[in-house]
Amino acid sequence: MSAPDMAPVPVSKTGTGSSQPDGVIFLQVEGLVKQFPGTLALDHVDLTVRHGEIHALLGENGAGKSTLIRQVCGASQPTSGKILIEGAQVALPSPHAAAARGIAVVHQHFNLAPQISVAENLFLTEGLPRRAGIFVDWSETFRRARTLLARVGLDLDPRREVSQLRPDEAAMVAIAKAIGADAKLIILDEPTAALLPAEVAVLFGHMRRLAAEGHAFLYVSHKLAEVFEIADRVTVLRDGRNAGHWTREQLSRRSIIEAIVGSQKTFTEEALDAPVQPGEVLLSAAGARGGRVADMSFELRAHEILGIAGLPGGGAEEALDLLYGRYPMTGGRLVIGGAEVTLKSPRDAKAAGLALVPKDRHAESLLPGASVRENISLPNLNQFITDPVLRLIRRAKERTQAEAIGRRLSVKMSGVEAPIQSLSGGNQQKAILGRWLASGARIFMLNSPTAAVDIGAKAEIYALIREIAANGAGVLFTSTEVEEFPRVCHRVLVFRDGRIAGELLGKEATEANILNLAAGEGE
Amino acid sequence: MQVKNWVAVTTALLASTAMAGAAFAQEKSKGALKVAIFSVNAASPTIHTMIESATAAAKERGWTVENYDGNGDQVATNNQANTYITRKFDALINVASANTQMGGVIANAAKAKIPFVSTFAGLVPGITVDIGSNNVADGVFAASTIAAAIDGEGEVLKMNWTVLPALAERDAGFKAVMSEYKKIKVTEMELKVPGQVDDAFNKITDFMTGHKDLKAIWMGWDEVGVAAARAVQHSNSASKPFVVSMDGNDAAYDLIREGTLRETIAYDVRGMGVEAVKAVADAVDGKPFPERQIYKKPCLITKETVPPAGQFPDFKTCVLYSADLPKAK
Amino acid sequence: MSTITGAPARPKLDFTVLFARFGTLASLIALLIAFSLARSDVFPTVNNLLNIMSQISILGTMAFGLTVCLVMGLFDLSIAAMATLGGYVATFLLVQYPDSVSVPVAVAASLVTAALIGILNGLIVSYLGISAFIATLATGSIITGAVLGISDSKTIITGIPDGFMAIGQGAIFGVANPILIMLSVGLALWLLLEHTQLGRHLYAIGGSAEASRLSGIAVKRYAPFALAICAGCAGLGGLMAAAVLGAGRPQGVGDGYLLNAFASVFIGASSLRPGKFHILGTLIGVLLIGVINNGLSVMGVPTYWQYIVQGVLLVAALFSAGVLTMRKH
Repeated sequence: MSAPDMAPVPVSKTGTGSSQPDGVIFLQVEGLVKQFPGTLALDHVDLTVRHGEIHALLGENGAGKSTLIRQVCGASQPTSGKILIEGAQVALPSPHAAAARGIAVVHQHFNLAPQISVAENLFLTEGLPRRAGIFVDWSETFRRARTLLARVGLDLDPRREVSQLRPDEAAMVAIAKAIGADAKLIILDEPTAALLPAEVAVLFGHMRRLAAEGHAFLYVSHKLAEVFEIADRVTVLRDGRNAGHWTREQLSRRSIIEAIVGSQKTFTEEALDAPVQPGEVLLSAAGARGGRVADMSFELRAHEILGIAGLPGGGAEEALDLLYGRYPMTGGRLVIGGAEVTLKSPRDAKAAGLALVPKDRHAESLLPGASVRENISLPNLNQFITDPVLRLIRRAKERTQAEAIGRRLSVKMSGVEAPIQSLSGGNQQKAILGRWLASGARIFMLNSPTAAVDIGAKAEIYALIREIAANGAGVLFTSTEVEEFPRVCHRVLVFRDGRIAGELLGKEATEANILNLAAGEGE
Repeated sequence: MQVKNWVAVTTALLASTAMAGAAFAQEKSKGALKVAIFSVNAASPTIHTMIESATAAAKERGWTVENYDGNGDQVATNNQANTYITRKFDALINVASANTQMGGVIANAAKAKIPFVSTFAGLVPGITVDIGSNNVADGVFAASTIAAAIDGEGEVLKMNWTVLPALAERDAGFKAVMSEYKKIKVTEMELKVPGQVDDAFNKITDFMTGHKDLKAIWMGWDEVGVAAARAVQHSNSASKPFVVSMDGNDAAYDLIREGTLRETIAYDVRGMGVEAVKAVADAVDGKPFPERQIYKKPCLITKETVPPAGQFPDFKTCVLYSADLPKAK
Repeated sequence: MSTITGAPARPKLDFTVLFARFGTLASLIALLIAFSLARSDVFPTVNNLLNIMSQISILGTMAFGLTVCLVMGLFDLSIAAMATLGGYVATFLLVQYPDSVSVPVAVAASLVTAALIGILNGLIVSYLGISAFIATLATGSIITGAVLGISDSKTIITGIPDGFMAIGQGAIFGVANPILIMLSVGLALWLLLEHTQLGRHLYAIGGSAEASRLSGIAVKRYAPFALAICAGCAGLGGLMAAAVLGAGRPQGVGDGYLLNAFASVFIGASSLRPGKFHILGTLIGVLLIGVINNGLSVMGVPTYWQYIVQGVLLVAALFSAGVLTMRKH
């Protein structure tokens, strides 16, 4: 792909927010557009990052953050718009070209090779220093590595294996690697996802010092509290557009959350009314814990759609996995349908009437090489067996059921024998939901059921979830997209640090309220 | 060059054994010797038998024996043999691992003045002695009996695996005989190894469907000879060619008794093991070896000469020429 | 990853798809025609076609079993040793205890032994978390050693009852028993894989173990089952080989079958249902190998060509299946 207009353009001001002329502009993005088939991922986005500043980039999943980063670091080419570095318009045809211009990206998992030493990681791209061009000069390697680590203020033995490092140390090694490659702008993509609070503090200390030396950071995070602590400036994207720009002095929680979720959505116009007739208690958990879930007590009733919300790692997704027996419960009680149960495996959970639609459709729920029929019947084959010994499958019966499910959920396909891979994401997901409808499960646990599904199918899936509840089942719903909770749920439990931090009912369950509870700031 | 080396090594060896002999007055082999008996592939039935008989003979003399199986890995076998040399074993007995592939070991043994005796392993400069069989000559015997039996005329199938040097030598003997008979039509086939037994069985079955007049089958060794005999036995072809093979293993004797296999040229495999141990004793006692390749006589085993089940042919009295065969009743 | 379109338009006549689906079947038919034309007197006879079936019966039985564990994504490398074990155990029991062990008992004992070792393989895979590739490599080695040790490397020939040999040498209505055994095993395993809950679960686990687990399938229980089936079939194959040859060989029975079994199953996975292991495909793969070997030997083509043709065919088959899989994404 060719770069946009080739004429170099002098630095100009960005449109949104007020800017303080306190630093020399390093990166300027103007009117960037990225068109994917069927979606406009970036719609005339502007962004300005100055030398020596820590710039936070915020937005929901799908708001365009990662697409923007991919354009800036050369991983993808914009459809139109300009990228200027130190005032000159540039084309970034590859990550290599971006690196040559001083832009480095540190991904969530720090892109380090875990099984080799820190020093080897630091020189992975440029190559290790050599003697006579052949033999690795190890003493020189370690000497240079120590110098580089000292530059980022890290006192670390470069011979240590990366897998042995603490997460904050690994983050700093990744930053050192970027600085070693002469990066002037370091893009950090959710670097604190795996870090403990104390480690975050150490990392922020290093970042501030490096910023004072003139390095710029573009910092992507979900954690608002961190943003308030570290950011000099904040840019928010929503639906692929600029949704606001703030300097440190102007920062306000309320306005930023509104910008992230869109002001109209702070009202629960889409929220459902409270359940028409809350049914009997289907599931009740008392002090359940295990894995990241520290303490969980709640009740789920028939006809109810209960949201389980929280920031990534906060325990919401893990709660569903725990209930489904994916990892052992280390304490607490679980009562399903009036009887106390111990779920040691998904098999036990399924037998107790639970169903789980996991988050990663391709890795966890699809049978990729199989047909739609085989995907729908997977948990239900015992409905078609001729006898309990030979267990021959009556295929006609199996096919009839798959066809019925396909019709009921209007799965678009050429037939139930079509490979599941030939269906669109939304129709695949409907087939997966259909799998559990056919199983007769009474408790549906759905993790991000609309992930990688197009808009039209999303609406269908929402409607389907409501229908499942209306028919008498209970639904536990979680999603990586916070905006879905008000749309889908009657009631939302918000997890923070593995515990239920609060409960939001009906119209109270706004995206802003959920984020506030999840982030743990004053409500 | 080679001759020079050969002479040098021989003289060195002769000198050293002579000196040792003078000092210990021929009685050293009566002491507690430590010998290594090894093979690159000890699981093969024939090799296994030789190792067993050699080990038993050595223990009978009061020696300590250490065995090693290379499991088909020649490099590992050589490493192990070199270890025996550094561990100062009194002698090495190589059972049927090609001496051509053990040059380093043989040189090391010569340098350390350790006797290196081998069976069925080929003549190579530097060894003390190799006890084997004249595979070319034996191939001639087997082929001659076929030619005689079919009156010098007709179709013969030859199956072999000439990758192995000993089998290639038998092949040469076979071809030398057959080249004299213009009216014998020979078809040659190579076997797939591993899987040789089933491959032989299948190939013969296939061949017989297309060659109704096949008169005789010559197989390179008894393991596949047994398979060939079975294939002929099971084929629904009207003509039943006879099978001649070589080696003399127990399975072949069983089939000869049954009449399924016509004959085999049997090697004194057990005798070779015993002979190897005797050669070690002689070398230790300083006796010279005027020839470094010595042969043991094979036997012609037919229905008339095959020993009863559970017994072995007596290689001292057995016959090799057809005229010496006891007349059938 | 997001998809924009709904159900894709149905492709019209797509030659790549045709090539991938029916390429192997077409080459099998082409080979049959070519060999028939080349040796019209020999190749296309009922006799020879039955002969081909006989020759693939052992390979087929083993490959069918292997299909079951490859469906689940498990590589079983112990089938070679398991075949040796199957044949040896049965003949050993029959010869050692001729009065107390009947043929059915010996057959059952040998198959049960193999299946138990298969279960052990599965337990190692499921509960010790060792990959099947490594676990079966290890048990294969242990079995090889154990059989060699128990047998003292000696082939059992004498004393095998006719009732046992009939398994390999008998026929019903002119069709040899091994063919019938192979076809029954194939039919049973086809039913198992295609038409039972068990088989469907095996496919599901092979497709996505995590999706299967989350669907309430007790994933860990299936590896012992699949590996037991595979081991039992390998043991049965070895037992048939022993019955055909009338010999209980202590080594190397399965070595020739190991790679061919894998080749047939993989060729099979490229036929009719590309990317999926299935019994019918395996049968095509086995037939292809059998026809190549038989046809080339009937035509008198040197053995090395059999290796070359088979290798080329394997690459071509997997390539054609790969083309289709690549195009899917």
